[in-house]
Amino acid sequence: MRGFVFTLDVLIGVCLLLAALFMMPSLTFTLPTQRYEHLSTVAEDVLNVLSVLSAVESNLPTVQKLRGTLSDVELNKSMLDLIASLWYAGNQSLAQNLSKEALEPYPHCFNLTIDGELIYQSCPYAGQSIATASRLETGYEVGKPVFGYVARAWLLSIENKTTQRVIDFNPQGSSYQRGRAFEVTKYFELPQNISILNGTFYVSLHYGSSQAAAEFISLLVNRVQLKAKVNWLYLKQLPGLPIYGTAAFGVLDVTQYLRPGENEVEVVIGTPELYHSHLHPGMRIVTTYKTNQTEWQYNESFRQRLYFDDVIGIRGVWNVFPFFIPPGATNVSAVLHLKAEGIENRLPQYVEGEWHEDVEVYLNSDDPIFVDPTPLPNPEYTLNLTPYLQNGTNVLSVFMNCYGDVAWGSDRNRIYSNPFNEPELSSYVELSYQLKALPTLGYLQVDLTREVLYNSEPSNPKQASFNTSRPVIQSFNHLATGFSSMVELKARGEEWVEVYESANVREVPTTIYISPQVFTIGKNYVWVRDFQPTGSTSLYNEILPWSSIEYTILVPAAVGYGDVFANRTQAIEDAVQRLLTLLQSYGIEFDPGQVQIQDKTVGGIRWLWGPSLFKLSAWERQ
Amino acid sequence: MWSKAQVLSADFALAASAFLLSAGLIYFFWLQVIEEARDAKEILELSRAVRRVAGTLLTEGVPQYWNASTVQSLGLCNEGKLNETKVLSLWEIGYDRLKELLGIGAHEFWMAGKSVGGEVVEVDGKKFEFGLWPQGAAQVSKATRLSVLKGKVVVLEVVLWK
Repeated sequence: MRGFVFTLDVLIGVCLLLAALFMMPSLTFTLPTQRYEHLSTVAEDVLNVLSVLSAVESNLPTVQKLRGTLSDVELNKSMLDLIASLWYAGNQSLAQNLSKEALEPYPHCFNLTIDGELIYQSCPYAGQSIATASRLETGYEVGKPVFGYVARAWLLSIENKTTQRVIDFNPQGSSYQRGRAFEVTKYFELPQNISILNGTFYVSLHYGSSQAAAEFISLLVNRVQLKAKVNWLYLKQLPGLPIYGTAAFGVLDVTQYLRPGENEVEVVIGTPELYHSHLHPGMRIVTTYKTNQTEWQYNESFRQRLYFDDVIGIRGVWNVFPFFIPPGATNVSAVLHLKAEGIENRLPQYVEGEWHEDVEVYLNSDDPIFVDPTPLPNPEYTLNLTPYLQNGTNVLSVFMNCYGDVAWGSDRNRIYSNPFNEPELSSYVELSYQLKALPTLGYLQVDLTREVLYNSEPSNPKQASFNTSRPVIQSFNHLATGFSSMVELKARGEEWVEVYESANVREVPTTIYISPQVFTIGKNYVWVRDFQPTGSTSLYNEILPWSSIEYTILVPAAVGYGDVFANRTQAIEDAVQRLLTLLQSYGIEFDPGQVQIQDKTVGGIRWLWGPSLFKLSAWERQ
Repeated sequence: MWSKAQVLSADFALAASAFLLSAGLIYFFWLQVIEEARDAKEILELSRAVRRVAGTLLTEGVPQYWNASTVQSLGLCNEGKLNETKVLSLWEIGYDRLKELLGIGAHEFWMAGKSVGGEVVEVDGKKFEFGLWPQGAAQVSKATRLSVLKGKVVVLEVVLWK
């Protein structure tokens, strides 16, 4: 019995085994990698066909419809080119139809994209295995000529460019006698054909104590009295010593009183009981105006006559007169013409440890370059300053019947200047030099001048900063102080650089030239300290927040070739618009209708779209 | 009462017969499986070879614009399309030389260019069909590629067999 059971088991097992063996050969399968390879080949081949088969050869229904609309050249584009051209030209439905007709004959599902945008997908579902082929293509835009125009443009002039100019008043004086006023008259010219947008007058002076006749007496701008309009921002007296007068800094709006061309400002200041009245550093007019800006003209030879202000002092007269020579200047020369009135021939005076004569001229040193111990009453001097010049800031100091805070004249003295009516008889410095090259000056650029106030609180020393996105080509520091003695100024772009240090007492120029090479693109700093002749930092002298940094930058006034257009006019319009956008980005305000622009077009430029990445994905139909 | 020897001989005969039968069947089918596996491997190799040959035909070959006397490496395309002149050169090169150039050794081959609809296209009056059609072949493998000939989409069919 057990034997039969055993035999039956064997037979069942054998049957199962045979069944398995018979089944085995019929179990065929396809490896997933083989399927993917096949799909990959299909995708590659179809994409290749689309890129080499011309639209006209394909003779698809959509292409037939486009005959007559598109040129022969356009119909001879490859299928892929035409699809992309239609797509980028905004004819997306045509591009989709063309794709559909091109891909329909094949027994696979496809998905065609261009730079990630879906053009056409033949099946609404995705396959288990999807192969993708890609191709980078470029071509001419449909509906436009194969060759078009590009244009560039640059400025010839802006009729309404906004810019600034700073008119400095040198520290000068004085009236040493109580109750008697001293007078300063400044003559300056603004460009013709400008529209003055703003005029801010910063008044910085040392006036008398609280006696009606001894205070700030008069401020005439083009003969209009504006004394009452001054808004005093800073008034300071020495602690417990009001008789020494007041260091005063104020501001007033003179916009409506300035005019293009010749201008005249007259200041009359009363005298302290025990000191002298004078102008302090920081007195200036900042004008903002619209002007015609011609293409940057660069001259190798530079010659300029810088006039003194006409100053009438009591018991002595002086002027601290800065001027500037840019680094790299060659053949530099300067001549001082000095004409004075009412100068007295007196004995030498012992002041601050040294004997001083009636007329002394200093330049960049505490040793005078010229003295006249026996001046005529109305002397006239012509001095060659050339041997004493230095690059950067030069400070010329003229003292007559006075030195520092001491005066020994008895009456009215005058440094004469009236450049509008008697230019040759006026006092002036005539400066000339040559510049072979200024690397920062670029062609097709517009210069823009900006003034940035120090801000914050009065202090000594004081630091300020400004940011620039363009290289600085010219820069000045306009110093505004209360009481002052001597100053040093450092500037920092990459690193701190010593810019200026007073060589002589009272040598605190309102304007100090800072070599633009000091500054870099980004954040820049200046640092100023007022110090005593001993070198110690002054206790009561303060640098005021209305000091400023004036810097000039050049901004591009040209744009290069842009997109391709069907005709010259469109190309020029595009270039002009790009130029205007560029100028506006630098804050140059102007009326586009008043911009004179030169343009240049180039024809025969191939009109391309792309390069764009096509991707064709293929998968099996369900 | 039965003796052990009698019972043993009958059972043994039956069991031995069943065992030998099943062992023989297993051995027979095992040989068949081995044979089929060998065939499958060869077919896989043939399949790879035919894809390689089809891919080679869609290249430019060497030199770029070869003719029957200068061809070093076969390829029928230029600028992504089938070159009519190169296609016509197939007949000039001849079947045996083509086998050498395609590196297909002992295999035979057949190729044709067909329209998407399945009709053999003509090149300069000749049907684009070349080689030996597989008749009585033990193994056959086919690859199809797409290209363009004379401005039309062409399905290039390549068959390798032995």
